Amino acid sequence: MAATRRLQKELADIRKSGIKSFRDIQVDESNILTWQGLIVPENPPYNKGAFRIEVNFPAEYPFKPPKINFKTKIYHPNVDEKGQVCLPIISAENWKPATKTDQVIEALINLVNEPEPEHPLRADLAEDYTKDRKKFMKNAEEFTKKNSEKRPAD
Amino acid sequence: MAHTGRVVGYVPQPSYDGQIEPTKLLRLRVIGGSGLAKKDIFGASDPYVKIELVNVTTNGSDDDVVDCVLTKTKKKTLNPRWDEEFVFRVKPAEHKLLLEVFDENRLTRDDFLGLVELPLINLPREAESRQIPHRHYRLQPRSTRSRVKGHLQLYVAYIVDDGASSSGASGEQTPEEAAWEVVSIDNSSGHEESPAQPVLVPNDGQSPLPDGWEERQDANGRTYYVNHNARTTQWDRPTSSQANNEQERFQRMESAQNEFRNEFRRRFHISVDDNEVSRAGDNSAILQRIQESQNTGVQQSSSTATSPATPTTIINNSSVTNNAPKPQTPTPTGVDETLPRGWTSQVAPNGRVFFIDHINKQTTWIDPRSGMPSSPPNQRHTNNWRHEDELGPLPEGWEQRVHTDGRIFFIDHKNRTTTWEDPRLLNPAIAGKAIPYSRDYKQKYEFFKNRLPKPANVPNKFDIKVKRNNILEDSFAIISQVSRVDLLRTKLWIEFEGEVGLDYGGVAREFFFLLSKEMFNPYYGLFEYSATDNYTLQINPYSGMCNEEHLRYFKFIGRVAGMAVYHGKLLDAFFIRPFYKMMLSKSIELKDMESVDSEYYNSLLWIQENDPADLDLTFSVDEESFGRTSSHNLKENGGDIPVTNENKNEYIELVINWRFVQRIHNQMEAFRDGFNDVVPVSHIKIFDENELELLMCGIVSIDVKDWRANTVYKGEYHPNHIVIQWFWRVVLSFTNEMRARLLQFVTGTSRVPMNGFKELYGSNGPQLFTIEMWGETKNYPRSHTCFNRLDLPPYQSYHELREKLIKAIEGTVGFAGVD
Repeated sequence: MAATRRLQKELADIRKSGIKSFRDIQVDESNILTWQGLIVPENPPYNKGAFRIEVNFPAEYPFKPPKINFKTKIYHPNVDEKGQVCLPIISAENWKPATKTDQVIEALINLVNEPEPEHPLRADLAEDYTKDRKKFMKNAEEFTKKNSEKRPAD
Repeated sequence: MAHTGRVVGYVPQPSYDGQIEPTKLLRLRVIGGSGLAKKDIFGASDPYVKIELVNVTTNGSDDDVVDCVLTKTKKKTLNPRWDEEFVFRVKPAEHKLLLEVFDENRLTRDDFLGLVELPLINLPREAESRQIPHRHYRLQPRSTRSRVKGHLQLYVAYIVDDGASSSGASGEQTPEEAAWEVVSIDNSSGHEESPAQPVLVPNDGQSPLPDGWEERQDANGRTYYVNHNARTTQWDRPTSSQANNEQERFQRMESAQNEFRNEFRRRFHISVDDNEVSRAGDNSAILQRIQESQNTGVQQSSSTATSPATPTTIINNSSVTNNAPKPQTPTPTGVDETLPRGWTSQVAPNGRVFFIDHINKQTTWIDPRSGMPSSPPNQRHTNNWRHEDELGPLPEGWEQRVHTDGRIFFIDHKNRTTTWEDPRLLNPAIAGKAIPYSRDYKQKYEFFKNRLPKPANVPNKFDIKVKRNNILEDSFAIISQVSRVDLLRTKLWIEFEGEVGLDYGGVAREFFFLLSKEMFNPYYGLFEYSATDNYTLQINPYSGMCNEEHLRYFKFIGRVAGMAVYHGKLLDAFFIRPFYKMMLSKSIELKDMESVDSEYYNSLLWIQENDPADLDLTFSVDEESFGRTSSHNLKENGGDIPVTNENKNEYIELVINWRFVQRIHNQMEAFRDGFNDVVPVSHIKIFDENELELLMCGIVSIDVKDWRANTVYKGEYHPNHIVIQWFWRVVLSFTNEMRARLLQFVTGTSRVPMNGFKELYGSNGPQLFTIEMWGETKNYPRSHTCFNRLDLPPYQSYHELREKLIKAIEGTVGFAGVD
């Protein structure tokens, strides 16, 4: 099947690439349409932890984009309380069947490292981020320490 | 008695020498109202009070508003009890209070129920030992045409203010206050003077009308009474006992009506352009229903003597439900309060406004207010009516003229005949191959309607008796077994079981609405939503797995659709564009996919414009049904044939064909079969797919009440936040088109889910409409369509909000939402 074959290829490519900021990729043998993985950001305040995400591919992939959800709570202007994230590369208007999952993940990691307060999902955090960075960093770091997953050892 | 709570009203300005202006604190308690006018057509009123503190002006210009507060809305009552207290800071000599009572409406502008003007002198001052009674104030009209009645019950008194403004309040015993002690309220004479003389109630000698009754005046100024419960009218004033008996009888009926009443308001035939529909249009649907309900008796018995004439302001305004035999293009009605009594204005088909004098039964182009004729058609509504000219010239010997009532007719000088019918519609040279072509939907519709086959050799009515809670199965049993299809074209006689055969004209409409709700409901698996973020319907390719008899059902649904079209009724659903195209036997193109599934469309478009070799595609597609993914070959051994730059166009064509046509071929054939039983499919070919949608489904009117009820707020906003209240007021003030555009701005689609806003979807699943406080007042509102969210800055005024919102929606700020 089209989606399956392509996803198997993409999954193999990503695993082979050994990318450090996205790892521990878990895919159920029976359902290649759902991936889980660990985002390991480099920039503070998120470099104090790691964040599990879920990538859901529709059956019509690559005609339709995957959806991404944070499974770990994150204090971030662009991720809402339910873990939803607004990522332009997988929005309906921008999606192209040629877009590969590693590009999507890369865009996500960039967004985590560099919040975009001008397009926030949580306006209160965006405001702190813009106007009182110190307060934001303090809150975000505390939140990260309390809620995020342990970073892999290496 | 000093006041420590929230104070509204005037903000004292420090003067040049640092002194604070003298002000007083006024306590206003809006206790309740009694005997208010009934404005809602089906029930009572939903009154609220708008309280404005205004500057008293001496030069006659409009009062400017210092501050404004609203009470809560009390639902369905003519004797509301608000019990709300406001404390105003006022300058007694310069300010007055203006209390206006309105009936809150879901769709239309709120109705005016009367006002009370309250000068701030001569008011009592609170003191410990003093009991200040509340008083009744008779509601006053705003203009000579306002119909108001009833009273407001208010408590109003100055508070002893120990604060900064003590100089104006506690220190001096003003002459006014002293005077107040002396003046007692004299009601015995019964006369009332405005402004705002308190009066006793009841004072009009007549007991109030029973619930469900309304007092009206006909065109000749005679008073008559409308019983909305029984849908009857009479000359005599009803008594309470008469009403009590009826009330019980009709209560059950009324509750049933409540249910579908909302549905009816949502949708209307497009016989007027949307800018006309805006305010009058929402009303028109309602008015039209009223007319149907009121006229039925008259139409059938023609015994007009027993019931008063239909009020002149109610004029049928939809061409499709209009049963007039002549080609009449109805027009929006202007119930303009500034026109003299008994006059209304309308727009002629050519766009020119004309005036109707209902008292003398005359029409004229001359505006009775100005004495000047209305502008010629070319200067008004040109965009609405420009299609008239696109038909090309009239045949030789023909002339087009405008009848005195504004309708266009045609004169054939050769044969010395006149006709309402545009001769060009019958001329193949202009109209094209046997199928007349015209851009004008209304003309096409008239043509179509006249060509419909008339029933022959069948009884004169078709009885359909169904149970409300089993409408789909009952209707299926009755309609499917009809073998003489002419029966489907005869007058429908629909009866809901257990409801006495009260045919007031709206039953057939209700029937089609209720039946639509069932047969198109994705729950039954015959139809499905076209995509998760879209609310248009398509045939479910797997309908056979839900229902073994699915093809018989599709034929039945086709018949129902045909009957709706034949009898000028509407279906409560919207279909994907390709569905209408297939009904018209048109081929489906890539472009048609755009409105159905924009993501899929974009992907196919990308393939069309790029080399797809890297995508590893083959001539097979995956599809998911009931949670299982399966593969389908687009052609023989398709799974082994890679899609290349050379064969990609064939691939796209096959994908489109499979998605829209092949998968549902049998179902579509059955549907067309059924439709063709009632309306020959060849007859609808004069319409294009957009017009076919208008014909079958009308256009949807967005239910703001449902919208508001299913909206959530983030940040500091909450349903009663003043900015949120303004927001909904703005939405209510919008035309239907603007509402649709707002909805589209925020959610990406102007369609409302079939079961209302509670089923709104975002890109990640169910997601209610959300409004979040964000940004500063200099920002424009913006949206996140993937989360159905509007970021709304906390604007300072209604007008600022309205202006910024409109600019954002119209994209004139160069920033149409985030993503």
